[in-house]
Amino acid sequence: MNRTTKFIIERSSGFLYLFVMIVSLLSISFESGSGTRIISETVMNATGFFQTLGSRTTTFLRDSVTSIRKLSRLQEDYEQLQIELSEFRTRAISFEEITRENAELRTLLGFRERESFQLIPSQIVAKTPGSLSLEFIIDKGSSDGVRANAPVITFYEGERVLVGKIEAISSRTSLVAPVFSTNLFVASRLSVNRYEGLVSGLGEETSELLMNYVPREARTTVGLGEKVVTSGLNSIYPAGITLGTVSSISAEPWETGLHLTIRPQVDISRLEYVFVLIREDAE
Amino acid sequence: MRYILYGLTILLFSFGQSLAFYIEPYMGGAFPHVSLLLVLYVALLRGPTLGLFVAFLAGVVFDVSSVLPLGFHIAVFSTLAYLLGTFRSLVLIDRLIGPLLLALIGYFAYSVLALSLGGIFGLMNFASIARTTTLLEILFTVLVSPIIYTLSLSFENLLRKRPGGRYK
Repeated sequence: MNRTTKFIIERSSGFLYLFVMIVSLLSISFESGSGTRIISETVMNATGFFQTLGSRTTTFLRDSVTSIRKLSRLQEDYEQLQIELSEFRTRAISFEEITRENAELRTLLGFRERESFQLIPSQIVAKTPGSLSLEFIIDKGSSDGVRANAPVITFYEGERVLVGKIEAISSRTSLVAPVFSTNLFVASRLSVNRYEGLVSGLGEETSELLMNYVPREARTTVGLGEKVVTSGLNSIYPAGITLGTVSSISAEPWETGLHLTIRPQVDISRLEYVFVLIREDAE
Repeated sequence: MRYILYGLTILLFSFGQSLAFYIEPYMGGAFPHVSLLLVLYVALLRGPTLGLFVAFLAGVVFDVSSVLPLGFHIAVFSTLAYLLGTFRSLVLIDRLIGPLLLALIGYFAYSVLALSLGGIFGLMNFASIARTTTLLEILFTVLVSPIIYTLSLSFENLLRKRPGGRYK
């Protein structure tokens, strides 16, 4: 064995480390520089299957364990739902009438047609392990019609509540950045006072949101508990989706705007199912 | 064979950690960083080469499950595994205090490396990490470290006892 071969064998782990680091850094530079996730999404396509499989297995096991307890409540729920269903059927008839009337009035007034959205129901199958980033993975991808930057919502007490937005997609799964991510910004407004602002997350630890750039004159009218909704202005989020309620108001004397802390409407960490909103005219 | 078994184990734990959100709400919203512990202990017990292999696999799973570019977690885990594997002869470890201390230092080094790499490529800032790194996760990671270390040690002993197990 010559000296060069011996040198390489003795330091094989060092060379391996160098190789791994060079490839990793090149991959990071490529993906962060180009803003695309071609390599990640290719690997995500392969791993998405295992994540979905793992999630289904976990859900099945958990449901099997809790099914006996749930069974006793089912009869009660069934009877309650039958009553609610008959109520909703009655409401649906009047709703159809109101919708038709509303459409006619909008035409008469020359209003623009409301944008229509398709809801894609999906299950959360995994969450980014560790705490360096806060995303979660859903079981619907580009093959199901999911598009990048599409808003992700849930329903709570009959309202649409913003959960986050699609950050990356593969054919079978998608990565969702939750609304409390520090790098997500949502154009929003106060539901009663109609003042606008920009909402961003404060991280998972607090799960609260911060609304900035609210005009200072709003101070006298904004109250704790007032609802904050998306404004729909120059935004990927349609108007009227609930973000949360105002939990505190602050402002520095030298600043021109208010800082409102928003308590989210739902605990995102406990969600299992969400809906992806896709504009029906989206290509 | 050893590589296959260690590879399957780390994949199982990393995927398992990404499914931990089912039980996180019952644990105060945090879960121990089991994959990090496995990377550290494999590097400590088996040296840098197997450590790098395990780090690579864990990194791939972490990277495809986050918005961070592919290679980010691979680079962070590989650096930890290589350094610990190379200088493992300097580390004296028992069954309790050693794993606890190593987990704490390892978690700190992991955060510093992630912050540095994130800073260089403009992927994250200190505020982002400080806001997302929960004290509870650090606490859980440190608390389970003796168990993970004992399991890693037992796994390694089992592999050694099989026919031909003393050889790579």
